[in-house]
Amino acid sequence: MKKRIMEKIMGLIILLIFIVMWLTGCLTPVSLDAYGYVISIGVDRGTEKKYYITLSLQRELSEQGAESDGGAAILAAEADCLDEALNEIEGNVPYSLSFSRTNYFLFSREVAESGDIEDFLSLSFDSLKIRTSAAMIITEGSVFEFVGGLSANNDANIKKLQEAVMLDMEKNGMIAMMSISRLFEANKDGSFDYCAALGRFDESIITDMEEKKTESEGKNPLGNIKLGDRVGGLKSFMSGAAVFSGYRMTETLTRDETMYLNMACGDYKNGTVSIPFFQNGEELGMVTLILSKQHIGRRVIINEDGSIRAEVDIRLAAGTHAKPDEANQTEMEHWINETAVNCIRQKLNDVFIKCRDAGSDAMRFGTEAIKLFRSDAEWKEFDWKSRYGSVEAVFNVELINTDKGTSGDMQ
Amino acid sequence: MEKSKKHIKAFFSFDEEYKEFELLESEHGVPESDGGWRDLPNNSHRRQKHEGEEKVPKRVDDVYNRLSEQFNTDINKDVILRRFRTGSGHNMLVAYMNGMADDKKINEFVLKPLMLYEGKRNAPDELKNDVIEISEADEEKDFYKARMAMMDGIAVLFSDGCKSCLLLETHGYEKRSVEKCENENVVMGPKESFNESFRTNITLIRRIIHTDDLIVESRMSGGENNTRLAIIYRKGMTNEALLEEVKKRLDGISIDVPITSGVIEQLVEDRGLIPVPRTLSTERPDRACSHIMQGSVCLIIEGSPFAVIMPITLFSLMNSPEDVYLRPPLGTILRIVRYIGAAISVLMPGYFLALALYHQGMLTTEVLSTVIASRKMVFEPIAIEMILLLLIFQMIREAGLRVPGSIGQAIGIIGGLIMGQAAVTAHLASSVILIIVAASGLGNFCIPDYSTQVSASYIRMAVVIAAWLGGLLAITAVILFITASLSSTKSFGVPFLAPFAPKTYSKRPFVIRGRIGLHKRAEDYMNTADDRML
Amino acid sequence: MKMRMGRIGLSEAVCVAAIALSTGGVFGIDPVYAYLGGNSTYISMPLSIIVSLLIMLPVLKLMDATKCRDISELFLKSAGRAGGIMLMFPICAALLICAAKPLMAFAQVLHRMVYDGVKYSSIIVFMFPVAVFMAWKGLETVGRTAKCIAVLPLVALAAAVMSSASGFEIYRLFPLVGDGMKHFALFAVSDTFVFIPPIAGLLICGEALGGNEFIRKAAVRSAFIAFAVCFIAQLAISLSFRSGLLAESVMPLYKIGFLTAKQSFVLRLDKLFIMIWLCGALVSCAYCIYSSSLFFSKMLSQKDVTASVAASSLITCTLLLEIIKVDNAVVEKIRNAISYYGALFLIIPLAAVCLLTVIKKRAGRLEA
Repeated sequence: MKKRIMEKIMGLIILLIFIVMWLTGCLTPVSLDAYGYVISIGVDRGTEKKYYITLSLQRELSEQGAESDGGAAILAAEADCLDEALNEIEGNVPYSLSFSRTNYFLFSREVAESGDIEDFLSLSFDSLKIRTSAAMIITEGSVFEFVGGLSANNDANIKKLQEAVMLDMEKNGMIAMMSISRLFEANKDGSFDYCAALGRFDESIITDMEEKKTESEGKNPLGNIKLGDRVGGLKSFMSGAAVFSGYRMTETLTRDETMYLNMACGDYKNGTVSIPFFQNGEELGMVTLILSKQHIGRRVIINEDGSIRAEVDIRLAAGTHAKPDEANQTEMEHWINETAVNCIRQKLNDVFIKCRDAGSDAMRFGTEAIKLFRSDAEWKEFDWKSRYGSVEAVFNVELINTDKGTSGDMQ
Repeated sequence: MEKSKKHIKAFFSFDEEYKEFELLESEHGVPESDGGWRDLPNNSHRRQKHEGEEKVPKRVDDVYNRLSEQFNTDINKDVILRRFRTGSGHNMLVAYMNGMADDKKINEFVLKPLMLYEGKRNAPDELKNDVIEISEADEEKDFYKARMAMMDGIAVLFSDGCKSCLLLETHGYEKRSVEKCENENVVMGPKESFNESFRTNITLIRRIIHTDDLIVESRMSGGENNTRLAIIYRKGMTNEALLEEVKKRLDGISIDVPITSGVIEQLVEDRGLIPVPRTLSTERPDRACSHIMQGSVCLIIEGSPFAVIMPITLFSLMNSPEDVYLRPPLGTILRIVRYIGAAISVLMPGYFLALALYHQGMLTTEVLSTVIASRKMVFEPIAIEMILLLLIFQMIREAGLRVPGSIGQAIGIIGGLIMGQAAVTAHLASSVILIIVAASGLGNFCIPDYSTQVSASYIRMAVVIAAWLGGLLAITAVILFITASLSSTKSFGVPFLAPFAPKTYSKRPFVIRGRIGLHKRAEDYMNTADDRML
Repeated sequence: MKMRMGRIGLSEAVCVAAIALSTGGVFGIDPVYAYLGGNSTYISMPLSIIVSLLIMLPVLKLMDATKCRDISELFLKSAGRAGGIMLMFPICAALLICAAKPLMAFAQVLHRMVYDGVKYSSIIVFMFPVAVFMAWKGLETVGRTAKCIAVLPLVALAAAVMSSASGFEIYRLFPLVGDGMKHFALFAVSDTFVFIPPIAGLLICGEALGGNEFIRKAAVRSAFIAFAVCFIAQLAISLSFRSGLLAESVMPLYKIGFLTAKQSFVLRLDKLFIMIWLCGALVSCAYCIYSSSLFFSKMLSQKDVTASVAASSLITCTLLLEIIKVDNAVVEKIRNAISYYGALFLIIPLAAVCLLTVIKKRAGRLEA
């Protein structure tokens, strides 16, 4: 009898818990097909309002998975902030916008140089569920065109496409890819400056879709393509890096310069450089060196007189490729140890000075300087940002010829 | 007011003694495996009430009258009360059930010799030794037991002027022969299975276990129907406390329904919050013997083609007899696949639903696009679709069980392929959800024990509903709740998750199949005599 | 008596204590306080575990000397009934706070970053009943559940750390030892507030463990496991964020995967990892609630622990719902006070009990 009472009471309690869970309003489930998934958020300068915001959404495939399906759906509106844009856009689309898949923030050069990034990024990432691992891209020209250019081939999977474009460049060290969280860190901390990827849109590029179109229309497959035209791929591409000072973009670097920047930062993995080869005072042609990182060591020395010197030791394995037939081994060895090393060193120095003059510690020497301090208060008092303009950098480059396996001397 | 106070007090049960059955450890310093709590009334007095009260009447006429009255022979034509005289003119009566007893045996070896017997000795024990040609003949003084024996197919011989009767082994009812296992098929291993015959089942066990300490203790089940059952164990090996507890729980049975293995399981096992079986029901003699050898207790019930084994753990339920017949690496792989299948079966539908409703960011863009595209014209919400498909899967499975022969196989094909494809084409379901439900169903079939399969289905539904209510948070809560419930569940004093939690001395692996004979103290959570000696 | 202790083995005790210690260390500390003086938590916190162990081992030794089966007997013998009960309250309170704090962090993260437009109470309704259920069922259930799930949080931590490793930078550790040795030592002592209660829980449940020897083994092993886990977790956090950002973050471990711009499947599993860690937090909560209830019941000679469990659960639930209100000035003051001075409220009673025991033993007034 007692057991039956107890069982009844237990049953009632469990039912009560169940009812309470229902009555607390559940946790608001929303089916995945009720969302549109924003892959990237782009910000241009607006005409009537502060910004022109472009959202790129992944379009779903049809059930049969036809190749012509998918791609990006582009939504855009003018607004003073992202919330305002969302209010405008969500009103006439049959779904809510979900930012859980947002991987890129794109800003036009104009917006980046004005420092309005800080204002725009003051949105609540947590409430919009935007991951701060999203990367930033600065575009030369309009973001809207750049985003359109990425979808030019109407590839089904726009997210994979964007990733592939970025990763391919990143492999060769020709772009800098940093998450938004690094931007916040740079500005909160002051120990380095942010560096974003730089994108460009080129209207003149003839895409694969345009080629296919002319072919399918029965015209000459080459269509209007002339010798010398830039053919194939997308109209939008990565073209280097944009360096920041705080939240403001101050300078752009080409792909080659970005490669040297990555080298100096220690992020470099492998890549190629082409340097003219001289033998007996005669230029025999361009030699391509295939470089891969062996060791990159960095340190900052603060002298007693307050002067700051940054030293970077770079040791790279160098394999030659496409060298002239007339080049002999000894000369090649000498060329690598002298000319190539000097060339690389010079380029590194040029990039450093370019960044320093732009007020940007894109080479992140501050992160080495902080190691010299014993407390946070001391570091804050030192104020690295204000002293960065007087930093001198020395780059010690060593190339190890993997063709022969001998090592050059460190200068 | 007083009543509600009483109820509250009953609920918290303050100051009450904790009535629990403990299967005590004998090793020093090792924590005991505590028993489950079960407050059973001791109903053995009910069984004993009838026994010993009725003496066998001396006169055959009295016997005839009493049996006629008690069995209602004017209506009950099955009961045969055959009066006859021996060759010397002595009155006798043989009583038996038509169809249960073999009347040819009775005619040839009881009636014929007795009718021709002209001796003066008429006491049952004397007749047993000299006249009656039946292999098993026992003397009985209790009239109640004699009546019970009659219902079991035994012929009872009454002799005029004697206070005892003879119980003659004359079972002759129709029964199924030993056939192949239907539900526990293995590729490598014996194919015999138990059937409904009590004697045959015991024989099947005796054929495998040749130790002289094997005890087959026959008794009646209790309750109004009083079915014959056997408690099988190894004397000196099986823990005496376990045996006493089993007997105590059997004594507590007092119901009106026919006793079968399924009913016995429910009546004797510990109760708990989640519906996992706490006894193992098997139709394989080799599996039953394997457990008996380890020190478990096995029940064989008349009329049931299943043996009931206790105590068991979750890992016993997940093990298949085939694991032992394969080499360790192969057995291990099979077990791992089985556990993965079970996990997929229980977790995958709920996990996917949680991601689809609450955590879309965890799905890759490709999956998102595909699922959205497949659900474009589906009318019902994704949660309802999932629950509906799971329900239909269960319906197809049940239909396949009930429909006989070759049509049963066709149901699976029709249901699985054609209906599934038609449902997708008609936009009644999406292909992705269908695949998930099918994979979950396949995983469910990996579980060897049928009761555990059904339990897993319930748990899967609970996880799906939890996912619907609260996403991964609710799934976490439900899984943790189930784990805690399993941790607190006991099977005849043995923790359900032994030997993992609690950890036991035995180093025998429970997922990975160890080498046979390597681990001597195999099931030491049962505290067998072997453990106590070590 | 219905104390629902049962008996648990060494491995279960180690699992439950290690989970409670690790959960407290990784999720139970107040970030505003912990990273106040720079970033040295990855050294000070593991050290704090050792300090906690060193504080509790003499108590255990005294239990050996006085032949006490658990800490409640020691309290009763040394301070008497009234004194013992008074000295018991801070420890019970600390256990309940340790039960609530990690769940509070999880509730905040789930509310802010995982679920849309959901109240705290809705999230707690899903989490808390499971912990109460485990505490209600008793120590065996808590111990065995801990054993079942013990590996999962470790695997989740390893996966989270390894997948985020590309975003780690050594410079974030600098300056080493934060704002100097003084702060570092302060944290090493003040953090014992989250580590002493789980170890004390082992002493409270001493009878179930089968002897002081097993309590000692369980305490030492679990402390070392928690040392390793806290060190790895805090080091990963320190390598991912500078102290300025850490002080504003509720659960920095959740966000270590947000640093790297590369996309991968494992990096997207942060919500799954947090749920796995939540399992550990719920087991830890159940353990703390049960230990507190058991201590209370034993000190007051109650014969049933379920009433205390019910009361402790209510108190913990109230704490959860109130501590979460970060904009409440009074709550904020209490939280700061606990962070700074909480350890004293534990060390003083334990020291008092030890002192009284020694004095009484020397005077021969202590019965064995």
